[in-house]
Formats: sequence, C-alpha cells, structure tokens
Amino acid sequence: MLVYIIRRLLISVLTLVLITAFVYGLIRSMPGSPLTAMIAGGGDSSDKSISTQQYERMKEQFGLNKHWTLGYLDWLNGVRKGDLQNALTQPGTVAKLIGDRMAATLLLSVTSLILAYLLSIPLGLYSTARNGTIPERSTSLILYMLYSFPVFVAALYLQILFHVNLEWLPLYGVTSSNYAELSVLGKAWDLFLHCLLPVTCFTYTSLAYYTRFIKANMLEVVQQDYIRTAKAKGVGPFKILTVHAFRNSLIPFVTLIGLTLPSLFSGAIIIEKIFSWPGMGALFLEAISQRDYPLEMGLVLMFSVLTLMGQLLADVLYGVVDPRITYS
Amino acid sequence: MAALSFVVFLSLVALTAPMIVGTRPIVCKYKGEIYFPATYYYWRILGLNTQAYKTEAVFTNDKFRGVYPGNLKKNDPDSWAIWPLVYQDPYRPIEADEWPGQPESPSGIEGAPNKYNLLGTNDDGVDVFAQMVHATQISLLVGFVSMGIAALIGVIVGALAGFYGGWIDVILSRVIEVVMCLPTLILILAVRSILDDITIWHLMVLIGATGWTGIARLTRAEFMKIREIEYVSAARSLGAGQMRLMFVHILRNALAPILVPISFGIASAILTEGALSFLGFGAPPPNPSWGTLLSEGRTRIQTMWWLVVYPGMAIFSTVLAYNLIGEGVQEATDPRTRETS
Repeated sequence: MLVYIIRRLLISVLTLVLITAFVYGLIRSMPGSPLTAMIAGGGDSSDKSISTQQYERMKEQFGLNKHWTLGYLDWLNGVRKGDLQNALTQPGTVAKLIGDRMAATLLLSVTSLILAYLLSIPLGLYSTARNGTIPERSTSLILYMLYSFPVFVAALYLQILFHVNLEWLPLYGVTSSNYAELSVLGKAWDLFLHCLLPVTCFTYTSLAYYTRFIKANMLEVVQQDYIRTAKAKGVGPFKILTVHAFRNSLIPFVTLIGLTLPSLFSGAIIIEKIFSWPGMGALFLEAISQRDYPLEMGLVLMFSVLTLMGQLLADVLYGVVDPRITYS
Repeated sequence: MAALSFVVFLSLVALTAPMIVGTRPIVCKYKGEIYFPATYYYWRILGLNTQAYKTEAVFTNDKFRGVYPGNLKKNDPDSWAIWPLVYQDPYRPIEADEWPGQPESPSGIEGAPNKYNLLGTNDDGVDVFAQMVHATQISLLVGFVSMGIAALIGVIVGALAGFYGGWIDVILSRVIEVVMCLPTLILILAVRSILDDITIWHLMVLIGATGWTGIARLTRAEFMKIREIEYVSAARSLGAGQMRLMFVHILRNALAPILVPISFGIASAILTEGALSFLGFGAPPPNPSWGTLLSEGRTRIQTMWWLVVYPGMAIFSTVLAYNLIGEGVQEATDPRTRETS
C-alpha cells in the first residue's frame, strides 16, 4: 500500500510539472502582459505613460524579458522552496491573495457540500425503500431535471424570482452597503440572505447527483444474499436499510468524496461571477484578464494538486473501506 | 422516447431555421432567374461570411441592403417570392414597413414579447425568437462536431493504451491525466487571444480537444478487459494484424459502453458552449447563441426577463434531452440492468 502511494505521488509530481509547464507556456504566449494593463490603465498620476526606460526596468523586474521556459524554471524553483512569488498586478504575495479569497469560496462550497450530503442520504435511502412507487418516481424525475439544469440558467431564474419579482433577496455581493452599521445579529442575517442563492445553486446539482448515486448503489446492494439473510432472521426494514445495506453501499460513496475535493475550491467560476462573489473563481478570471502570471500559476497549481490528490485519495480510500481491494 | 423526438425536433428546427424565421425569401424569381437568398443564413452560421455575401451578390448590386420585400417588387414587378413563416432577422432589427404593416422593432425595455416579436427583442431591437431559432444550429453543431472530435481522439488514445499496455499505457495515461487537469477555460482564453478572429469552429475544436478524457479512460478499460478474451487470441493466432485486432475485433465489441460517455458528452459540450458564451468567451456577438442572449439578459435582469427565461429553457431542455438519451443508452448496454428488466 505504502509503495503504491509513494509511486502514485511520484507520478503525480511529474504530471504536475507537465501541466504547469503547459499552462505557463500558454499564458505567456497570450498577447499582452501585466505591463500592458498597467500602461493602458494609467493610474491616477497626471502623466499616464511610463517611460521606455521604466518599462524596460519593470520588464526585467518581473522577469518578462526572459524566454518563457526560463521564466517557468524560475517559477518552478520558487515553488520547490515553497514560494509562489508576488502577484504582479495586486499588492501581496500570491499565497496571501489566494488565502484571502479562500474563505469566501469555502463559505459557499463547504456549506453546500454539507447540505448536499445531509439531504442526499435520506433522499437516496427513501428512493431505495420506496423504489417504483409514484412519489419515488416523481422525486427521481425532479432530481433528474435538476441534475440537467445548467447552473447559470438556474442562478438567473432564481435571481429573477427572488430579487426582481418577490424582492426578498439581494441580487449579488456578500454584504449590503450598510453592513458596518448593523448589529451582530443583523450582520449574520445579512450574510445569510446573501448566501442563500449562491448556496442553493451550488447545492442542487450535487444533491441530485449524490442522490442518484446512492440509489444506484443501494439498489445493487439490496439484492445481495446477506440482505436476504438479515430479512430472514427478522431484522426490521428500517434497520436493514440503514445498517445492513447503507453501510455496504458506502464504499463507492467514499470515493466520491475524493473526487469532489477539487470542486470545493474551483467549481465556482460561473456562480461567483453571476453573484459577484469575491472568491477564488473570480480571482482566477481577474488574474487571467490582467495577465498576472504568478497569480494564475498559483491558482492552476492549486487546482491541479487538488484534482490529483482527489484521485489518489479516492483510490486509497477505496482500499481502506474495502479490504478486498489491494494495490500491488 | 420523448427525448429522442425532442432531439429530432431540434434537428428539424436547426435544418430549416432560415425557413422558419428570416428576412430573406426561401425561393424567389428575380429578373427571370430563380434564387435562394435564405441560404445566406446557413453560410453565416458556419462562419463563411464571404460565401454568404456571394449568395446575394445580385441583390447587393441592385442596392437591396438586405431588405427584400419592397425592393423585389420595385426592381422587377414580375418577381415572386416564398417567404419564411416569420419575418424577423437574427442579425439586425426590423425597420418600419419593411414588411407591409409590420412596425419598427422595439428595443430595450419596450421590447417585451408581442405580436411581431414573439419572444421579445434585445437591447438593440434584434428579435429574440429569430436569434433562438438560428442558435439551434450552433448548439447542435457544437454538440456533434466537438463530440465527434473528442470521440475520435478518445477512442484512439484509449485503444492504444489499453491494447499495448506497458510503457505506452503509462505515457498515455499521464497524457490523459494532464488533459483532465488542464483548466478548459485557460486553454480557450489563451487560444482566443492568440487568434484574432475566433469562429465557432475554433470553439468546437477546443471543446473537443479537452473533452475526450472520459471516453479515453473507458475505452482503455474496455480494451484491457476484452484483449484477454479468447476470441482475440483466436483472431491473433489466425494471423490478424494489430490494427485489425484493435479496430475490427476489439473496438466493435467495446463500442456499446463507449456510446454512453459520448451521448453524455454531447450534452456537456452544448453546456460548455452555453457557459462560454455566457461568460463572454464564446463566438463573437453577432452570431446568435443561447448563452450570449443569457448574458445580455443578466445585465438587464431587473427589467428584461424575456432575455433570460426563453434561452434558459432552450439550453435546459436540450441538455435534459441528451442526458436522457445517454441514460437510455446506458440502461440498454449495461448487462446488470438488462437482466432485471
């Protein structure tokens, strides 16, 4: 097992180097540089244009005068020492900028992940127990439709319904403009109202997916012999479902946790854009439009690490929960 | 079944879009010749603008400026024409009395759905119904072409990795992993900014070139399973070459499960195109796209609900239909579910 994990880790590192090199080459070959935005943006001083001398100096300072392969090696060297460099267009290091935005994204994703798990397990068990009845069929149908509902369409529909028509919820942002004046309770309520729509959008697709996933696995498990044995020795239907069947259907479910790890941080670009949520998806779009190479690379590195780790975790957990599976 | 007929319906709409709604006659007789000016729209959708202008060269010479109804009669009293069902254009607003009795297209908040603009108009007064009907072509094209590309790459890579195993498998599996981790958005943004003039074809190639990993993994697994079965050894001992083994003997037997990710892939390709257009990274605006309409609707969400509701429904029902088809294929090919039913 240990050998397997170490081998997988080594391969992952190689994969990471490949991915980051490819992305670095790609974003460096995009026209424009962080300096273009700076020159065009001008700043607030009276003379907007930077002199050529200054331009060359900044270019050298940012390492933009080198070929991209050398720039990449510099970056890689920094990563090896645990340094993600400074962002070019915003003050602060890349690590700090990502850390600042992480809280906003995690607020959405962790809440919705917990909600999705909490709701999908009872729903999945219910669908298994009542499989084939009309209420179950209609629940499944609704869940399937939710699963196919594109998140950007759903977000806009919800905004129209709850903001434009009913005027219950704010359109976007994290807090209202008068946030500072509110009491502690008022602040919490304000935050809650702002979270409601993005969390709903975040939750419903995974809810539908998990429920279908649980139901599919459970239907397979309840046909096993040990379920019939349990039934024969007089175990109640509820206990059979929760104790005997559900615990055995957990195996594939656990691997799902590993695979959802990257989406905890990344799967939010569109939602964050629609709700103007200052999270990491928004940072990603900012970084790429401003050609902030170190910032973009930091985010790409993080997403790829999470994706690879998620896959590894899924495989390892698979072996842990099911002793029949061995890795050699 | 309902899903399948919906997809057939969509394909029909896509194929006949210029005949359903447009400002160019389907067939017309002008100065003794028969013309098909509506073919203009097909070329425009495919991004072949020069070809599009060529189809109406005769009319451009006679200073039609894209407006046919009045000019046809004025320049040639003997001309006749068969018109599309609805007189609206997906690229420009209609002016007053272009079509007898039809008022000027309203724009902005005024453009709520009405008798002439069935689903309203956008900010510039371009008809939403016309845009949506013509955008059907884009979304179907994206679904099939990009999935075709993805299926081709995926099957070849998966087949090679699964058939040969060993080092080839290790290398190809790394390639699959790298492509899986690549953020599609970065790739598309990068290519978009490198090419000056991005067309729908570039988008389709990009979506296809990033969407093949699932197919490749499944193909690889199927190949690894099937290459151990006796009939493959039998074929080998009869002297079948490696190509023949791979693509005649194994692939045919692996095809049924591979169809599942392909049909789900069509749905996700349509979704990706919608999302990209929605974020403003799709094909450039004059091209009608459901996602572009939605993103316009997002900026006008307080007032112009019709820009959100109708294109949203279109994307949703298309994706749902393809997912249902995928589900059906899965049920039909999965031996476990087949036994019970």
